[in-house]
Amino acid sequence: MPKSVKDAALIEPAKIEGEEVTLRTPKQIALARFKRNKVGPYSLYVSLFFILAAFFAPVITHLWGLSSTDIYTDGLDEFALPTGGFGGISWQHPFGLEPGAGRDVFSMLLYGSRISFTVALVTSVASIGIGMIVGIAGGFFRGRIDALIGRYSDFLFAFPSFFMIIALSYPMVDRVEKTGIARGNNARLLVLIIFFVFFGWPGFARLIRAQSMSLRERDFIMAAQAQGASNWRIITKEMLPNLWPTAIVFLSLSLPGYLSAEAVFSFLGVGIQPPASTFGLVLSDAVKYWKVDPSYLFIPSAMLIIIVLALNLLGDAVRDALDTKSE
Amino acid sequence: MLKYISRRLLYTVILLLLVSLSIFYIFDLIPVDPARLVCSKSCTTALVEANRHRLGLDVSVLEQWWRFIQGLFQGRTYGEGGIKDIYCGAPSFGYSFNRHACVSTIMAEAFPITLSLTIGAFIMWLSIGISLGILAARKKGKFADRASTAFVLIGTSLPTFITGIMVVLFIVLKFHLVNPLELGDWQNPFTNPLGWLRTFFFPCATLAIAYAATYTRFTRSNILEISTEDYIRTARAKGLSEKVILRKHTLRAALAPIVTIAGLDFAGLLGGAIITEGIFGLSGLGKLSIKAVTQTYDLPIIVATTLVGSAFVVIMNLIVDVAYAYIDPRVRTT
Repeated sequence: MPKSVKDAALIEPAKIEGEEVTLRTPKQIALARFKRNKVGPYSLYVSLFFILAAFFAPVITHLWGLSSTDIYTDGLDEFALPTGGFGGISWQHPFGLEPGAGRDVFSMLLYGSRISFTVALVTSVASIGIGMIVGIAGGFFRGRIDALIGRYSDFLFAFPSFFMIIALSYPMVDRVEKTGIARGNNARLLVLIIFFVFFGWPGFARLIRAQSMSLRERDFIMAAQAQGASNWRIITKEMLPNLWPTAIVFLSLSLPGYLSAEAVFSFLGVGIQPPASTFGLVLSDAVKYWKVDPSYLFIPSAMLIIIVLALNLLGDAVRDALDTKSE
Repeated sequence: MLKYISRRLLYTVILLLLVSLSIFYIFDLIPVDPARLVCSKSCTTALVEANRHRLGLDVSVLEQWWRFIQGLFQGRTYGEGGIKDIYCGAPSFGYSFNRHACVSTIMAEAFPITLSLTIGAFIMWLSIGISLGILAARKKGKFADRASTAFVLIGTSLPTFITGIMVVLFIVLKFHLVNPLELGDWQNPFTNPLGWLRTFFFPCATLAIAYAATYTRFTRSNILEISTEDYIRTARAKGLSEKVILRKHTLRAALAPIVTIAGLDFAGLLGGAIITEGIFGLSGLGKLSIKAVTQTYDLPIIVATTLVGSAFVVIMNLIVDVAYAYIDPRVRTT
């Protein structure tokens, strides 16, 4: 008779006293740990809610009978301020009206968060893609490639990225528009993403490099090499599955970072421009009306903070679920 | 040790030269022509060319860069072929034709503001972050730990510009703590300490919140990780009090990596805290550069602030590395 569950698993994995012991894959373990987390699932629901709301912004605003470009002047008084309390909040305009122009804040923010999520998602995924390739190349092959990458990322870290983005965004947008790839806000979006990726990938590449360096010394890699597996096979079949958790954690933690970065640059006037309405733009406009229409300032702030908070909590939960060290 | 320092120093100098050279190349690539920008309405090709010569942009980028480096050490004369020559003494960072002043003079005015902001915020976030981190680690799982976790979450999720706006509008202006017209006015901390405090307390606090949160988290996890080490168990086994263990053994090891990060964060802010300076109306380096970009595209100022910003980071990196090698001799050999 086996003494403990552990012994039982060693001798006969199928059954102990009627209870079935199934072997779990790392994915299942992580998933179970995530579900056990108190806030993890809720932060996932909240994040998904906002992402879906942004994705379906045109549908939602249409169903609500609104448009992000229409002007509802009948809701404004003679000083172009929304009538009614709390910035003109009503069933028709759940977040009130924009003072001055009279657009609907609810649809403005939905469309704005669309841009923010696009920037955050595309940037994170692109940084992960580049960082993965470069990091594995450096960590697995070592030698000259590694030295080159190390020096290059040192060099890139020395650049004051914030300054460079601010200083170069105007001329870069100009350049992109001249090539005819994109115009207006699409060009600005593209430039912002290019900059974020350019300065963002070395951080992730370093992480992956360090991990692949320790992975390649592990026995299972040596076993694969002894069996005559090609480098390509070792990288794709042996190393990548071990590197995915890092990528997922990085993705979930960098999303809120890029989301607020986009807001900051738009707020400073070097990102997306009106008539688009991202969080940064709405907030920089709202500052002018803080005394007469504070809800126009509070609602976008609260929405941005809730999104960033939910994504941060989600990132923490994902990290805890995938991090085997804290078991 | 001397060998290590000299090697790191050489590497830093090379890195600085390379970074500055590439900044010159990057700004040469952009499709803004400063020679045309300073030209009046009745502009002719000849005038643009004359301007280009006056601005010193008619030579190759390499030559422009070399002149800049020389100017840093020797001072430099600007506006060749203009009505009169302008001399900026060493270290000369260029001449702004827009503002008719040496960039070094303009930056020297802005720097004390950025320095005040950075030092004030640095002291605040280090003291709050480290003490909260220690408290949370010692009371792991208790109320203090949970409260500090909440602080970390809120601090990392609040974008600085939102905290800044809220602090300015709903604390500083609402309660008339500062006259709106004097918001961001420079006060000398030595002759007018109270005025200085009034100007800088809120911006420093705003900046410090976000940093304090990350430092709390970092300190807490470092202490918890080190507490599981064998030598801590040994210390406990030989009967040292918890206080002594914390002070002499755990903290020493836990705070070393924090020194690295603190140094780099400090250097990064010295280049200018753009958002905080902008919101609180402080005319530091950050506001200087954003104004130069968005209002006049004043290239000499943009290049100079970018260069100074990266120089701070690179030099601080050197200092941190050397300090680390001093603490931990194993680093020197690598």
